Amino acid sequence: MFVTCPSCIGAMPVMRIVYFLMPLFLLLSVVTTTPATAASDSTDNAYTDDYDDNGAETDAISDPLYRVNYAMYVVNDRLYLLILEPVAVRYAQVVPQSLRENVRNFFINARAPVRFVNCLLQGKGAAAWCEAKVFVVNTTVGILGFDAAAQRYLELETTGEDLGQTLATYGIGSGIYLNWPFFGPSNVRDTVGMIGDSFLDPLHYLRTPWRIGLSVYNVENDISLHPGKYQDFKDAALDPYYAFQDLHVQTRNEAISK
Amino acid sequence: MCNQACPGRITLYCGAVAVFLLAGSGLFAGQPQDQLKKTLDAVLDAVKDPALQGAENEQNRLDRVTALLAERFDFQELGMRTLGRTWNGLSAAERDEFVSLFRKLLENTYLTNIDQLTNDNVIFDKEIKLSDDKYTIVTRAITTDKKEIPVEYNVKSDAGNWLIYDVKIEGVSLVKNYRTQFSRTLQRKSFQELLTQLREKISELK
Repeated sequence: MFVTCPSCIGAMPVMRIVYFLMPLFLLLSVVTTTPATAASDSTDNAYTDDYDDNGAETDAISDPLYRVNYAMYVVNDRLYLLILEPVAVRYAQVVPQSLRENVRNFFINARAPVRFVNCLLQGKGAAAWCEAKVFVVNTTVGILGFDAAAQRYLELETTGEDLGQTLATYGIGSGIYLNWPFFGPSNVRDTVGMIGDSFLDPLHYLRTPWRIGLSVYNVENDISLHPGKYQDFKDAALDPYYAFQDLHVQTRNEAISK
Repeated sequence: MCNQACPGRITLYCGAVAVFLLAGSGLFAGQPQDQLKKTLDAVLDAVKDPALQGAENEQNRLDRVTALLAERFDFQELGMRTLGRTWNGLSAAERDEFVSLFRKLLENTYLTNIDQLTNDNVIFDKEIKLSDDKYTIVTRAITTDKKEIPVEYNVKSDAGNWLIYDVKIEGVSLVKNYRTQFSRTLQRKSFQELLTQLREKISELK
């Protein structure tokens, strides 16, 4: 319903900077122990007892880079509301919705190797097999993935697995919260995952201008399919920075649990 | 007449009636879901009501939808859960004021969004019993572009009335999201300042 998936954003050359900064963040994530104190305080309550299902994960996020992350939140917020969404709205006026859904299907299909490999890495054989079937059907019958034929006619579903989730199932903690320009909310583990996944993403092997162009186009196309949702969610928030941070944390925890 | 001739049949018939009546009075599971379904159907009817169509009736339509959904929500419980431990230290007046402000915020934002979720079709998948008086109702909302959005409603019995105390959309809990925001605010500010912030937020939305 609301803007949810930071994971739907593909690989970008910003990655080079990320590679460069990675050791620093890894170090930070090791040095900073996750302060679960505030979180356990609020869950230790008779009224909230049936939320114990998520235990300490609830709200427990380490954000020592708050100032930088907050600045990036402001940058991304302006970028989204002043440039990305207005462009997407114009684009939606020209291109019919069914065609934009086809484009979304194409990009989702192209990332099949990422999902397939991560299903295997998580020991989910049936899901990996399902991914393979969906990919073959959609790439052929669905014409390069523009039509999600496998989902429509065979009721097969893709998983949305990625390396960040794989690492989480190996017991690796999220590390500190990171809010990347353009990519949005993430953490150390998921950033490492995003870099790893990029090697399995066909977009990664295109020439740089094409890679950037198609990645941005993918984002614009996605936004055009849910205009106004970002603003709706922001409007409902008392503190948008933490609302988006929590949205990210809950979305990731949900994805990992599946 | 068969009824006189075969008393066994009468027993069976009476038994069937009794089962039917019991089911109607809600002694069987399914009541939480039925009540939610009734509300969502009523919302759908309101959205489609010919008397409420058109831009000039938008406010009426929204008011109607909000009123219908508000009946199904337990705002006291929602407020309590979003504040967590802080709630325990508040006076009755403070609690009431917080609940009424939080209710206004939700009515002006989330409830009008939920009506978008009920626009098309809701598939009720299952009821999960959490305890004698708490259930999770698992649904999928089908959007106009045929996408399925998982929506879970947590409901709690209030004298046989099953009221919503949390909504999870695509795995994101409304209560948890606000609890994070409120606890962060309360780390830096007093409870009175939180109330002021809520008041400002609501006046911005109007």
